[in-house]
Amino acid sequence: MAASTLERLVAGIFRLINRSRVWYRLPFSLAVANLVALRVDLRYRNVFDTETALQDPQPPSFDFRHCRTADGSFNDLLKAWMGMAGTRFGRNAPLSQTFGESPPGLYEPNPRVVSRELLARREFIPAPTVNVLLASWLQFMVHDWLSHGFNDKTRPPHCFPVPSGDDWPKAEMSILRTGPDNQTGPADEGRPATFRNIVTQWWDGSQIYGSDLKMQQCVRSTPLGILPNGKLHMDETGHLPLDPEAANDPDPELELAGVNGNWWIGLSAMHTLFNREHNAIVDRLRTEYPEKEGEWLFQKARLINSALIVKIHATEWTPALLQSPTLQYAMRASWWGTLGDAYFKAFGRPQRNELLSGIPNSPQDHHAAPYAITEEFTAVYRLHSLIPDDFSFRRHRDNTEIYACTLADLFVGGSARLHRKVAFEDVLYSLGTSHPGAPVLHNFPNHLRRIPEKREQNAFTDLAATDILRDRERGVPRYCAFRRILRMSVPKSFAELTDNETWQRELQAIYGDVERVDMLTGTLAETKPPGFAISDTAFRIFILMAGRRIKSDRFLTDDYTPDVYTPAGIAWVEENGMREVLLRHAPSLGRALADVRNSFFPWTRPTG
Amino acid sequence: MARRIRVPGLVDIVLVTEPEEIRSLDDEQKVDRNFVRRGPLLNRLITRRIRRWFHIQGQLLPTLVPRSDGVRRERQRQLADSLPPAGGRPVCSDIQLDRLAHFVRGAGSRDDAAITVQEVVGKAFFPDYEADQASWKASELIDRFREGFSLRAILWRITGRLRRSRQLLLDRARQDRWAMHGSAIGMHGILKALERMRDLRAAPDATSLGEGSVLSRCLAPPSQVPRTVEAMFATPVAAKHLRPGTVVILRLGEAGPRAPGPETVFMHGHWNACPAEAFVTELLRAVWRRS
Repeated sequence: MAASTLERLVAGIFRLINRSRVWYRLPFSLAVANLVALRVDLRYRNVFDTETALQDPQPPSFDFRHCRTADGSFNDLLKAWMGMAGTRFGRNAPLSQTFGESPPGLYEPNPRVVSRELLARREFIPAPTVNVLLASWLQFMVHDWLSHGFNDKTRPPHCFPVPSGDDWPKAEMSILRTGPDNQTGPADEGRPATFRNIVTQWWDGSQIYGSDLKMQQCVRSTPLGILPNGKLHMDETGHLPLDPEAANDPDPELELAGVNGNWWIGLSAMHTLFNREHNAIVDRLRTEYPEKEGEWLFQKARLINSALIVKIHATEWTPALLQSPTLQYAMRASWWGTLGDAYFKAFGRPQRNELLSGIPNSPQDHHAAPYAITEEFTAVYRLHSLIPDDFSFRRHRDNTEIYACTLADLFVGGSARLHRKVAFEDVLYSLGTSHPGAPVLHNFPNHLRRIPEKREQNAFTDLAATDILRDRERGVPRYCAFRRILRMSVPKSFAELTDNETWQRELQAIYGDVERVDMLTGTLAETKPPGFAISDTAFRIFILMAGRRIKSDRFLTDDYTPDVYTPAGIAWVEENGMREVLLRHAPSLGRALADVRNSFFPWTRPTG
Repeated sequence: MARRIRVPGLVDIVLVTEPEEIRSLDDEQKVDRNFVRRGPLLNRLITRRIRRWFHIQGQLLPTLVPRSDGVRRERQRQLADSLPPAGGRPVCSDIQLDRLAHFVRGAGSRDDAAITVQEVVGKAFFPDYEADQASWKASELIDRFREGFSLRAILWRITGRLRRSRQLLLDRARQDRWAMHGSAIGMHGILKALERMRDLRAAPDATSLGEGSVLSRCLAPPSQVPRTVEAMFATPVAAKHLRPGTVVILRLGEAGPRAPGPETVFMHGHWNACPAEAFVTELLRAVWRRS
């Protein structure tokens, strides 16, 4: 559907205003209107389809009209392939500007130098207004939305020299290429390379439930078979079971989840919490609909659990990340509409109007292109700086330390081992009372800059260098080019990029020309809007894609109804939030959460 | 969905910008290039303008004749087989390549580059084709006139500039419709591509760009091409039926960023594919390498 004349007019007026004044410098009401205009502008001018010849899959023998399919197909009933696992990433930049970079420019400046000189954490810089659950949640969501899958081992890796004086164990750094799209055809000739998202692109809880039927059945199964009651399998202590596929791995204690790559305690906590939430929803539905079978209970609980996650992200997580009054209002309005949650709770949704009553239950609309997560979205969500290097696990009753460790101790099976030492409530309490890192330069976790792959062969991964190279490889425009594409002002010098004079000098020394600054480096260095943890550049993609993930999804728009969710299901989504989920599964945390307005703000520590 | 401007008796034009919709209408047999006078007033003016200025001895330029035209089809095939680099022939001389690379490197004037481009295109048809400042300016005027109605265009008609420019180009092209199209209209696509290439070459990330990326960023389709509706039919592109005489404007320029590649730029794989695709891409590739 095209933008209406009114939408185009309003967007045009704010484009003119923004030439002289950026949106967050406007008075509150104008800033809110500006955000609405920005979203319209971005929806029609910054989503690009990369698919060229997709065939619709065969309809499954399954009630896809009322339940989510395992692979995400049949969400859009006209283009059944849309958003399913294995479809291509879309783009936020015009396709002609998304060709991957080639050597020698691909390696300029050297990604390892950028990693060492600009990204490496010298000392931990905390984000004092939020807690580590915010970082955990982010990764929990990213695993729902996207994965490029395994890297390409068939082609030679990217290789570039490690500068002298570096403590890297080898003289050359090699990084495997992104797994290629093996389903290209003649229509792709002359176009930039594409990549496939191996998980469902929808906001459907696929990190919990998997992106295919096999995985879905796996998380529902004990060694005796699929649980007949519609629940997810948890062990006898209420924790995630171990992944049977990891039984022969060097660390066999990896927990099982729909997506369990890059596993650490933050992910483990989130998965445990929302697996328990699924099972609580099943219990509620069984009380309401005792005649229904396990399969029905499972599918409805999945719908409800996923929608609750969406609501928490929109109304709690994002306002914690972007702490400005304008954003607080705008994000709540995206769920409840401009009439607000008080009006909603008193009178319900007045009509299916996105502006007045929020995106849920408004008409589904993909705007300028079929829905897909984009490469640029992937790039702006590279927020590894949020993760601390050191952790202290403490008792929630008296704040005494139980166990101190580093991030490396919590990778893979380290999480399951921690659960044996520290009670689940105390894990949540410890994450809820600790600060994540601030997403700025010089704050990339050092453990992630030297991840052991094959320690015996001196093989490590520098994730910071990899992040830099990935954006270049996948044709994500560099920082200045990206801002041009978003119609933002473009810094002409390093002084215009950041207020921090030391960073200006450092960036100048590495990049020489501000036009060469990488997207990641630029967004970390950029002077941020007041109250924001992320840059305004990244925010533009956030505001576009956050709404799009909901607006394109049939189960969050046209079919966000009591008929599809059940009346009890809609009530569950609308009446619960992160605090309710936490207290349901860790009730003794009441005191820690008592004075906290948002569960992603630092929790209260006991005194005296 | 496409935008339709319809005032009964006055105008009925459909503006199409979505690549998928452009593709579907271009493949639709009921949408053609039959510019006879019919339909509402403005539609008649558009078709009259096309017939008046873009013909040679009563024959329209090849990009304006119907899909059923056998001569067009045959010549399109012949040209695709014969234009350089077919048969291993170079697309231009070493001197010409140097001149164009010089322009891309940031030196030299646009006019000099334009004359060279016109010469390269002309020589692809007639080895003794000659381009100069006068022929370049004439083709520039024709191209601007083609873009649409304007006061300046009226002035060009009144003063006879348009007629003289057209005649000059016709003489240089020896009344050949294909040579005329290439040297008067098609050459502007190449010139625009070279100008973009010059900007890319000056950018600090020039060393990062592969040839595919350069070509994709430089090549641009014509901003818009007209079509006519030949029989009433329903299409998801428009809310109501399209009627005979409706003018459909395929806005390739706007569709380009959504679907870069030969299909949009050269209508590759379609009945109206540009026969100069290989010629143009090879020329641009050679210039980039040389620069």
